[in-house]
Amino acid sequence: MKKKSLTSSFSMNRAEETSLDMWGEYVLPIYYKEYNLLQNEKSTHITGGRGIGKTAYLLYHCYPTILSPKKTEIKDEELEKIGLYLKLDSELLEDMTSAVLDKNWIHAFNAYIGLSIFIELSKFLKTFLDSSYVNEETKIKVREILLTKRVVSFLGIDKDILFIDYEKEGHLLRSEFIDWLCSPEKELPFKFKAKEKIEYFIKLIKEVEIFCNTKFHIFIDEFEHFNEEQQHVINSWIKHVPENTIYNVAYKKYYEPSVSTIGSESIQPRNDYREVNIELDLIGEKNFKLIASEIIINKVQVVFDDVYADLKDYDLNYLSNEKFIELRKKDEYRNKIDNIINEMFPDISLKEVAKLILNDTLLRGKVSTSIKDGLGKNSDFKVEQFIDDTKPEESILNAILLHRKRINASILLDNFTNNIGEYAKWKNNNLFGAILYIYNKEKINRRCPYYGGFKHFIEQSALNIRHTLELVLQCFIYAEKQDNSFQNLQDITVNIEYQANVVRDVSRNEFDRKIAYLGTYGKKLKKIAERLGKLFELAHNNPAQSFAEVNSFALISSAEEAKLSSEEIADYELLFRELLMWSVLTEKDNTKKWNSSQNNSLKEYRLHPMLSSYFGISFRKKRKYDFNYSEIKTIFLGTDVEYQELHKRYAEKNNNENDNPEEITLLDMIK
Amino acid sequence: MKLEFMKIKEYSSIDDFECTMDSIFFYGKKIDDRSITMVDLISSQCTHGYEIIYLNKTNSFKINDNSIKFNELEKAMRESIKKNNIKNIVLESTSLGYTELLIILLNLSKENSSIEITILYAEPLEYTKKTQNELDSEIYELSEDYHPHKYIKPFLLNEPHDFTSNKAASLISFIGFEENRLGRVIEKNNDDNKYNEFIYIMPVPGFKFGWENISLAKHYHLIDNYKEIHYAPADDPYETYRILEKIVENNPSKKIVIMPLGTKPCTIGASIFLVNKKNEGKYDIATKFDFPIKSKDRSTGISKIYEYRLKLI
Repeated sequence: MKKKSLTSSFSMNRAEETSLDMWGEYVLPIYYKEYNLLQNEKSTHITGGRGIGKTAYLLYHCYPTILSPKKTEIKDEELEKIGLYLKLDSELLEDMTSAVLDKNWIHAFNAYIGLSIFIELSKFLKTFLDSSYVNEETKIKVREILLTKRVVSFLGIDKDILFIDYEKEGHLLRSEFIDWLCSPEKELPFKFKAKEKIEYFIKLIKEVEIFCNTKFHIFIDEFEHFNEEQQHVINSWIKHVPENTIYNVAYKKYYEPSVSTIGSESIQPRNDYREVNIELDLIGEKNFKLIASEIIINKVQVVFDDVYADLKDYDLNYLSNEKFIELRKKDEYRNKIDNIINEMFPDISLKEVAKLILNDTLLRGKVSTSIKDGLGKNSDFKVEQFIDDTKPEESILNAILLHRKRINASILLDNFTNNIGEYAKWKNNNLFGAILYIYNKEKINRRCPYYGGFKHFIEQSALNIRHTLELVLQCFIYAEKQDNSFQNLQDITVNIEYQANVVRDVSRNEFDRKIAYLGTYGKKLKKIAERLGKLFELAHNNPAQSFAEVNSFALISSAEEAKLSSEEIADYELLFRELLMWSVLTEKDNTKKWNSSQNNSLKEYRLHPMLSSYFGISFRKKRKYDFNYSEIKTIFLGTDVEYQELHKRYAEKNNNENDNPEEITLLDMIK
Repeated sequence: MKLEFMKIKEYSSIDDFECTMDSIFFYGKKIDDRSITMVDLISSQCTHGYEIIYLNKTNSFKINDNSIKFNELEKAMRESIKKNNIKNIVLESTSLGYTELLIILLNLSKENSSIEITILYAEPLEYTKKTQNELDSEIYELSEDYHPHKYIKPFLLNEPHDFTSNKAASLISFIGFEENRLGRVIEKNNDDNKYNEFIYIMPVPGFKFGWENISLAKHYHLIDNYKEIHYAPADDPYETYRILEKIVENNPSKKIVIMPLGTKPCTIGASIFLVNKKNEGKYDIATKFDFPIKSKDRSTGISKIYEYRLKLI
């Protein structure tokens, strides 16, 4: 029985849109035990890429989850560490600077944080009262915690108030604060040191015995929206840890916050704070598929108010429970999850794709044309000799191999007829490239189905769970449009053609309708992505596929580097960081230097694989271009005319490589 | 006091436009044919002209090369009006930016004297098209860049709009030719989730026949809910005002943020609306802006000229 529609459940795919209570919703990352943020005695810097679920991770440690009404029991020890989540109005922070408010900015900033956290503390107490915690005596004491007139006089409150009633008062004070921001020439209605006052308020809570050992962790999200002066203040709080409060900050991966404090000291990793990277430390690339699958399965189970037979033995909400992590690491469990998700989004092998091509008149025609072009004037052979329906992969490979000067048609035909074992290495390195080549040649909207399949969704999402969820949502929408509505859990399956169409739509949407809107430099990021995509496209459309599946690049240093002006370097570095921060590019260590005489960069960069389908390029981690600084400058900062020159050069280079394949041999390029 | 429309006059070309006002006038950066022509023409008629430019970083104004703090502008205007016994003020809105226009109107609304305000606007003959090539699908390049979104004080929501206030707002966005501007708002909302409702105001009819189609074509992919679209003529601040009033009255308890990313006459309507509502103090309405850096020569030629006369009551 469906409680709500699948599509509406998946269209709410951000933590902020669901409740603040993450219990049962948040799927604990596999390495969570080491990264339980509440176990830390010092601050943590939490970083994560776009869409990795940073907010949900932080909220998991905060009081609405700790005191979740979904929990049947709340133990005393769970109350020893309490998280408070803080996300400030970035647009308001913009003006809270010395340039705008002069010396008063620091008072304004302190007031804003203090007034917000006092409210959170009051809300925490109220949530505690509403929770399933059993000891009524404690609850009575909490209800009676008093903020005396003397304590709150600095806020202009002239009466005693119960802490649990502070919230209403707090909102009014924040309105007063806004009034002052509009007329900053007037006297600020409250000047106080937020850190000290928060500490004092917390001490009042700690007077209730159950909280006498409690530490409060404050998680400040979107630290990248704080300006440098504001970051210095928070850094000082991180440096000089108060007794009962630990300040933690979260920001996008690749953002580099200031490490200075308001004094002369600076904060240092390890000494003052620990760094947690959600992708690398908590999830790990290998576990992303598991976690994404669990999130999806969890959501559909909620929609259908049912549980897959294979998962019936596990506790309700087991995904949010630390106790069950070990179980989730086991193969037996992982296989169950894999089976369910593969049933929903089945994949297809390259061999099957090759068969589909040969069974499709138009695509088969493209294969024939390519073989014919490859044979050129050689009239010793007929096209049909190189196509055999019982050898689909080899037939497709023939369509590109015959374009290679080094390959002799007669030997190839002999191998094709008598010894297809010889094709093994090409199948590994060239089959997907060859298939893409055939599909890209086709202009009448055939989508290569290999982009579909859950494991390929995962590869194309590149650790961005929002992408995976978007693909799933669009698949469900697509299925609904085709009148294919699922009646129960076992019904859910989306055929490979739909999936491939959805991937293209999501990919195009990402390129056309997302990148340009990201951050302050979106328009420039889109241009760079387009320029890179078109260069990769060139290699993919080379009939010989001598340099197949290029979707990455590395930088090689050269004397030209010195020629970049400092302004150009600054522009280039800024754009590079933005591309990484918004995950238009992904970064990995440069594992292979196929030309060791050149001085390659330590990292290589891949155009985000979610954009692959749009450009008709491979999403697999395969090969890269080596760009020198002059080329990268053209791609990043050059005019359209300069870029077209570069594009032309690469087009010619691609053609020349067909004529002279010895320059780069296949073996050189195998990674 | 309240700003009220008195008269809207339309001149079919610059030759028909008569400018015989004995007053002071404010203008902004001269960046294209029409702003240069308009400012020069008015300069020859008015006693004092002030170039006023908002400086985003320091939240201050530059008036004829002198810097003045944001909140000091009100006092400076008041003193000047009193000293020179000014009865008419002209705002050359083709060149004036949104912040400047809005704050000047707000300051004037606080005057108790009977000042007549004339806002002038020259329609472009054409907006400059960027050469369209394979690499660039953007046709109109009206802005070189944008700044991060920011409130324009004192048009803030009653409480900081953050996690702690935990109340989503409605965004009313005007639509123009640059889909990037709305796209940035929507994409940012994916991260901070401040709006649970988007209301759009399309410039229909456009300045020229068919221009509304350009606005629609450039924005259709961003608009989820076509029920939330309203229409205001591109050249009509009065109608804009009326529509805003209707929307707000239907949502009296909502937090509302207005972003005028459309035509200047619509921006004028929105400014007057914001000023009046601020003075009334009845609703929780704010405005935010992206402070675009306008491209030089973003338009060519001058088409119609509009004169919007306002009075304070």
